[in-house]
Amino acid sequence: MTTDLASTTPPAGTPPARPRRRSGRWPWFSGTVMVLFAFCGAFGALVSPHDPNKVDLSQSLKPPVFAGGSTSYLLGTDQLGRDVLSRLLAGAQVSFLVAAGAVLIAGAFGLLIALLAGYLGGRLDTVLTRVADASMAFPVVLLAIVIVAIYGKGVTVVILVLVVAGWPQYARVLRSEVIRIRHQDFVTMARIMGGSRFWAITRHVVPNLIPTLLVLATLQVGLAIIAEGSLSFLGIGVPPPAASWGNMLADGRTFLATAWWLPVVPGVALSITVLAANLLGDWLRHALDPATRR
Amino acid sequence: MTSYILNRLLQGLIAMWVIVTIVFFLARLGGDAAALLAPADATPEQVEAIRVSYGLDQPVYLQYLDYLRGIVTLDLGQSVSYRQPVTDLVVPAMLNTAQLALTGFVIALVVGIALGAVAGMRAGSRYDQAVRALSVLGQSVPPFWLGMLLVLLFSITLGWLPAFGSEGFTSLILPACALAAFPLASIARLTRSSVLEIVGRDQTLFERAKGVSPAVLVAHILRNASLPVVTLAGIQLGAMFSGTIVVENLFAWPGVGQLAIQAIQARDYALIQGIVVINTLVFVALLFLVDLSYGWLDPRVRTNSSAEPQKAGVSA
Amino acid sequence: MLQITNLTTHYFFGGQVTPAARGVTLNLPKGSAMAIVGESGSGKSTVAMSVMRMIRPPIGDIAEGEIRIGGTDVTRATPRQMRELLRTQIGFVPQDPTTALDPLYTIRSQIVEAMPHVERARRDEVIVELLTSLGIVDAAARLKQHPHQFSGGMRQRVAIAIALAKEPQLLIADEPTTALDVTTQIGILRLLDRLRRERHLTTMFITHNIRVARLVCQDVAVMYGGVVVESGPLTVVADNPSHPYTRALLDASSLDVGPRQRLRAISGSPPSLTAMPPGCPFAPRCPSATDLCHQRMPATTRRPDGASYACWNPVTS
Repeated sequence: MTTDLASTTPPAGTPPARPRRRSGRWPWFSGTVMVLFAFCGAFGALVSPHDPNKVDLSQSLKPPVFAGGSTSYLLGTDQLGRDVLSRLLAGAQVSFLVAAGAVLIAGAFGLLIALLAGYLGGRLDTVLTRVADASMAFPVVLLAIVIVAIYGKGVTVVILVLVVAGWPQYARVLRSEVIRIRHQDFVTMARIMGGSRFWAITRHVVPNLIPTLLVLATLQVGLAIIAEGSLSFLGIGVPPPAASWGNMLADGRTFLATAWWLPVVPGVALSITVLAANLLGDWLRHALDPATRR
Repeated sequence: MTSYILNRLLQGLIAMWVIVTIVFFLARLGGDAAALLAPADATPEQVEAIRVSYGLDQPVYLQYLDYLRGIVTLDLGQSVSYRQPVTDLVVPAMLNTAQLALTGFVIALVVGIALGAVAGMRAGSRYDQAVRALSVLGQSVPPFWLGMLLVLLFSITLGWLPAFGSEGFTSLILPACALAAFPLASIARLTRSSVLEIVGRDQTLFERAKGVSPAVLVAHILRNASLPVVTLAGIQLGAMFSGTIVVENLFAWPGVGQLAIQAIQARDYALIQGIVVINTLVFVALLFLVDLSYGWLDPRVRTNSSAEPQKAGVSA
Repeated sequence: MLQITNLTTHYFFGGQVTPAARGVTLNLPKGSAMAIVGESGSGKSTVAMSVMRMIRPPIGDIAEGEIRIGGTDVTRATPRQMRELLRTQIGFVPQDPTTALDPLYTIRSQIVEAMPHVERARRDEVIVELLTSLGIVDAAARLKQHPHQFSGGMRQRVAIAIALAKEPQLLIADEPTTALDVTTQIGILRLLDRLRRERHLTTMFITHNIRVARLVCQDVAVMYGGVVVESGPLTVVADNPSHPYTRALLDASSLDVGPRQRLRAISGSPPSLTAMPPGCPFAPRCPSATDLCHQRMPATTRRPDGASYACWNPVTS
């Protein structure tokens, strides 16, 4: 540690000696996983080998094919004899719906707030920023408990929780972007040339926010999937018997010692999807940010 | 410094008031509170009796004032399902939760900063690459799933640690680790990029030109790099509370999370409200401490209380 | 005091070895002050950073040559010996005090770090005395303050105090006035000159402005493209330059340009470190360059008046 510190930054005008980033390359792993996830989310039911909710107690707790099971249940069956693969696909559908819904609505709402706060500024800005800060700091699960206690369980409620918890992220980051962009010369020019405020926003500010919005949305997909899993795991998310990754994990936890694939399979699916979303978000950030692009 | 503390204290109190008020009106928006409080098979007369006994027949502003007075005096009403004062239920559970959450938080902070700092000082090395890979991975594994994997490995396969319960120090290890992973990864990541930035600054060059010992140099770098990390740690505390509820559920840890789930199942509305209020109180207090440590670290914030602390970016 | 012999320093960018200083030879006797003049990218800062051994892998390294401070060869010093040298012998005045001072520490603690040899009880007294001598009013009351509570010029005085706290033999000032207001620049330059004379400091003064150099230094070395193209007593070189680049530099900073007159800029831009021509680095921009200049690096020629230059076709006045 000591000798490494003795190195220096080069003098001004010379590029910093950073490790070369392979940002130009298309991220195969995360790209493929995300495409697969979207596909399963949209068309999972079509390729599903079994009915995800069909109970068949004579077929209960069959191990997956790679652990000595049969090919008719590739990923084994659960305690009620339901096919794990089919439930995984059905769960992908739920996760996809929740993630897409939460990200789109929270993103749109966050963008709107960011434009109001960043463009109009003043006292409105102060108030909106404070509200965003406070809501961001508030624990998601606690929020979910309040909302579920009032409205009951359901996929829409999960999306509502994620929107309420997620919008401040967008609002805060986009707000500072709006402020940065509106002070740039081309926006000032557009206003001087007689463009209306609305025109300046839609024509110049919003398009410049798209890259940031895209990066944020991708990173939020991962958080939304984790949040759905957590809520369903606690029994305040997607109501059973509907298959969701969180429900499968909650059901599978009692079989940790006896049928390890029940908690492991949905967990692996969830983690890989979140990992892919995070990696894709990081990649997008570097690929879309002109400052880090070389 | 005093005006800075007072300023932050006032902001904390306002935040507290806003959240508590939102909770109150959310509950009123959700429909008939008396129907929510009553058991599912209650007759209209029973619902009416509940309405009167909880003061729900009063005008909303009186209910609100009553509710605020209850919070100030820490009298949060009676739990329907436990037939005990809410405060008596929530406070001991809160202490258990705090034990778990703070252990996890300390692990995340210490290990995260250590990993991130060394990675930042050795940017580009094998070690750095390993830390970066680990932190992306850590941000992708939810605590309840990691907890299960830990149980599978350390309790079921190896038999080293208990899988659940709250007996002694050993039963704290697995839940605390499961809880720490996510914030640890975030903190390691931000510390790394922050240290990397500070190492490249003129001030580090100037410090080295003094010929100071490596320890002094590292102290300067870490203190400067810690500013965004402190802000992130504050945000992570909120996330920790979410994580705790899930982890408590998994490890049967007798904390607020367990209590909250039971309260929802029993539709014990007073208890839920009490949990949210006390959680908010603790949470705002912790954020206030974060603000204080920020003021202690950065003299620019102290002398100019209107200056905003440096915010952690999306990279968190 | 400071002898640099045939110094070559490389940077490592993206797996490429880039020479930033090539065959630099300079001699600063005790108590002398030498200005190193050049544009950005000329290698002047690289020389200064090499003297302090701030360029180390993975960023770069000294490839060749010798740097002697007193009896020690810096290029062979261990990290521990180098720290010892930095702690006791070399004072460094940074370009921009705003970014060089640590914003989180009081100026007292930042100065104390640079004076470990003074016993604890006397430290405050010594610091106040030092700061007062550098023109900081009411120094005792300002010890507990942080850098952001000082103005730009005052910050630079604090930075100078840090450089002097160790009572060094050698002072390296890296464009110490470029980040300051014009009105404070003169004050800092006069201060540096006074300190040099009072304390017999050997001074290495990095600047891009040869006229600023005149206020502080007697000697000058003009650098271009990593090479010393001309050096010698400042007045001799400034009045009677041999190298076309020195000539152009003096013309460009000439003060006797009236309104409506064209400023004499040097056409073209400095060569990139990664694509250095094989011959004289200035040849592509030089008005009197010949084929020879493009192909071979000129050797150093000594003039009878003490100056020396590296040029095939020196300017004749």
